[in-house]
Amino acid sequence: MTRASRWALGLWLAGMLACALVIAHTEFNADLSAFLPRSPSPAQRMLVAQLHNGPVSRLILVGLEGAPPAQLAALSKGLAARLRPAADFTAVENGEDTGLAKDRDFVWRNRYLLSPKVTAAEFTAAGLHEALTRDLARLNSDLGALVERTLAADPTGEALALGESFTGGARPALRDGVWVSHDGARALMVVETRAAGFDIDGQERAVKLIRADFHAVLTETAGASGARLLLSGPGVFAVEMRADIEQDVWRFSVLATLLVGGLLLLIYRSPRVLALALLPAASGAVAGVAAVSLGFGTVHGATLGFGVTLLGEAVDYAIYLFTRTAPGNPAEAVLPRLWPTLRLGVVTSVCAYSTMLLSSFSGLAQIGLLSIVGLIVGLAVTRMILPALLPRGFAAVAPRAVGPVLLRGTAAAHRLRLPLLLLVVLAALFVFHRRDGLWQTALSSLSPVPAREQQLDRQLRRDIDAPDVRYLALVTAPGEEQALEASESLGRRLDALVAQGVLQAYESPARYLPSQAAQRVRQAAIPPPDVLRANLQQALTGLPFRPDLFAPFLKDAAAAKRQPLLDRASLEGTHFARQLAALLTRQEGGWTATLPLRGVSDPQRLAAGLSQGVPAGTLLLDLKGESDRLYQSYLHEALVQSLSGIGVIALLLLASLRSLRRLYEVMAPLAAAVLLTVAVLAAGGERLSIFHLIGLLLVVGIGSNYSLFFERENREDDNDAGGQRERMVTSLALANLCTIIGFGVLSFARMPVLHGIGMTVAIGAFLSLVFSAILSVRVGRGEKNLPMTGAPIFRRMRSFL
Amino acid sequence: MRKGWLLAVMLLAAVSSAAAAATPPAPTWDLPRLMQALAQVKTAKARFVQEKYLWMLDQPLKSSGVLRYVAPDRLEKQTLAPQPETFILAGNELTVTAEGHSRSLSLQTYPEAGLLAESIRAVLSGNLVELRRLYRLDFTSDAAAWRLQLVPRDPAVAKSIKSILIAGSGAALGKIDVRDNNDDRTVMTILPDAS
Repeated sequence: MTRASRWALGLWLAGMLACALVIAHTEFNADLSAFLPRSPSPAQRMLVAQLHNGPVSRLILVGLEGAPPAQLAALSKGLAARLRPAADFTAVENGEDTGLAKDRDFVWRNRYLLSPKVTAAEFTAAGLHEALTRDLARLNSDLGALVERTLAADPTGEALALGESFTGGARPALRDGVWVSHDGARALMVVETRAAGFDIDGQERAVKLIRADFHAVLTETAGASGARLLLSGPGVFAVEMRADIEQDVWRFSVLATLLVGGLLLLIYRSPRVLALALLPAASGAVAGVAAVSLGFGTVHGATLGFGVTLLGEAVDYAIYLFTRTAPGNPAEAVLPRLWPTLRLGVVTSVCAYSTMLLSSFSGLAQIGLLSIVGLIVGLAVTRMILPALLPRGFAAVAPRAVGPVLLRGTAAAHRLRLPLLLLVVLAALFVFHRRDGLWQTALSSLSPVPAREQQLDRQLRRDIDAPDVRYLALVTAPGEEQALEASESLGRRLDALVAQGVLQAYESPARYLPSQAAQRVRQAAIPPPDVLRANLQQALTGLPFRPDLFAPFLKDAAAAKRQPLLDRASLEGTHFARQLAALLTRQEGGWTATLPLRGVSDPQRLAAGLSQGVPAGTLLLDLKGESDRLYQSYLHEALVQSLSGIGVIALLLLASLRSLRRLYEVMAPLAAAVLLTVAVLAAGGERLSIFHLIGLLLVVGIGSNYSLFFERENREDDNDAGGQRERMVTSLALANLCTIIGFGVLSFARMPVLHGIGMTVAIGAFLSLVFSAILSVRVGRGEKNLPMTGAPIFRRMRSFL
Repeated sequence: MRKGWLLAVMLLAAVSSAAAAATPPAPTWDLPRLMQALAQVKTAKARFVQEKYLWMLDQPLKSSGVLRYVAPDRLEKQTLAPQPETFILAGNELTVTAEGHSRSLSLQTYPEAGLLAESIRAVLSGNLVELRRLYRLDFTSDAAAWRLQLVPRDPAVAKSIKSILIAGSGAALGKIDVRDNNDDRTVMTILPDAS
């Protein structure tokens, strides 16, 4: 061991130790938003924040199915009864009447301050007469009992109107006293956790408690043995994703290590060589994770999962080195010859990963950094450490059976050029034919939540009659009171649009907590007691109501005129407190009121209607349109990044190869591989997302390693009597297989990012190698010494044909 | 919603009787035979006139319309005057459409309402045993007419409903009179000639 290599070894050990220290203090997370783009607009940022830790993020939708309706209802009631006292939940609702008494009481006591119907006109003799006539009609109806109970104290029907507007008509159907889906097959519950959505530990506790209580209730309920529990919601997703990622990362790491290790052991038949081969990859992974930890503060579980691919890639370097090392051809001698190609290969890969570093997805940026650091460290370890650790006279035992077969294969491969050309044309036609359905168009395709769970969530939301709100009106103001006033002003505008049929209904925070100003106006609208008494007397003329029936009304109205105004604290203990918290949120720089719009039938008239005469800071948000636009812009960004990445790689290769012809030789197989990969993915029913696009870029970055080696080998060692070429082909095949294993295992991952990239690169890397072999041109002796620059591409085209 | 249930009981009796009128009158009635006749009704239609006497008002409120019944458990009261309104009891669901709104309620939501629903089913199936479990029954008849009085046994129900009186002659029902503890009274007169 030389002095220099001793130094290198020491440095490496120290570096690994430092990385291990960093990793030991690293926080690993499974934050779902890491693989969603950072949202550029303030409104979207607000929404993401809301989804991240707002009240919405604390909701868990519960479905019970697989048993007769009566049993489902019993399960629902039993489960709710167990969950309600638990400290982990702030609300458990299943349609039972419990807990509504407080709501009713709140509405009843404060009806004159809450009701938008309260105006001076309502309490004139004419206004009261109209109300009393309506009451008479209602008494005669089959709903008469509803009116009769409250008539004496509330002849103008404020409480009734408020009750209608709060329930909004959109409530799930009831069956056996609990909420059920429209088809009655599922009992439904909504549970609100105390823990915020991003508190995955808290969410996990809540989910576990629900599951445990469900099983306990299940055993107590006769005839319900087949019942299943369905859970959905942001917190549930986060918990499941974390478990999935942890499981996936562990499984894929073990699987890939076993496969790659087994393969290397099979080829080299030496545990020591195996250990040495894995050294660059392992060092790279450790350094990469440490770098991500230092650069981003935390490491995402999926980033860790992606580390598996490093195993497939960095192991290549050791393979290239070993396969060429032979007695009389020591590593120190092999390396300088191998180095330029190896270096160029790493640089192209790093180029490809660098575009990920620039991505708007923090998760992708993490993966990019991990890979870049991992590959560079892997290469450095191969260059500086491995030769020193190899025993003197080391020779990797070349597999006797494999080499010649591979060599014969590559020698005959050029005969497949015509079929390949046909294949490329066919693939191009196929891709063109499928161009419309080729790409994912929805942002949800990037969501780390698997499609199956997204589907369940949509189903439960439909069942519970809480359809995804597509349109939101947002209004921001400096203070809470101003935000409420702005919501009221916006609400008046929306009332007009509702009357025009532009939308069906809307929610507003001011419905639960009117602004102080509005409350004062309502108090002022109630006439003084003696005036009200006289108006009522006049209004009763000609109506069959008994005299003095409405004494409670006069008393309550007089009290309302003097009662203290409502504030946020007045709502405590009611369900309205949560509604208010969801709709009126404190943001940096003020308060934002959210008014979800339901049943929008004419988006254009809605936008026009909200474009003027509304409070400053009003914003109409089309969630679906916005997210689709966002997706398109990210797709575009990824496309530009990928193309420029490929451009940079091409320039790099050109600078290094200094020949258009050689560049063509390197790039043609890659282009064919990319095209065929797209065709294969499309034929397999995959809809391409940004992640596949990134994968295609990596195909070029990684695939260029193979075509570079082929290209380089073709120019050298023509007189090597086949020994060197056989080794080259063997090492390429082996390296390629390891890469396919590394990325291939990821294609089984449930996260779209790992699945998309893994599958694309696994297919693309394999095709790159095969096409490189097919298209590689053995340079004849005569040609060998021609100047390399400016060789006509047309000649290559001819040889291609 | 208690009155809704009262109404349902009345409706049932009313439409059933309308159908029963079509069968030839038996010489004398006893309770089992009446129940048997009610149980055989599969579908029926009748007109009604209703008068509500409420403690709040000096005069009764009048309404009229059409009743429909489809075995085993669908009951429909369509008020035509003075304001259109539909009241439908189907299975465990009660749907009321009035003033352009439709409201659905489940029977199990209110315990006393559930009890009444059970009694409806008991009457529908001619289940005298079940009816006796829920109500104290008082049946009187002579050659010309009979009266069946139902008094709830359950204290929760009895708190709102005092009694339901169904009167008829022969196989036909003429009147259903429901009294509650507010001294409110609803009287429905059935006009057997349907359509």
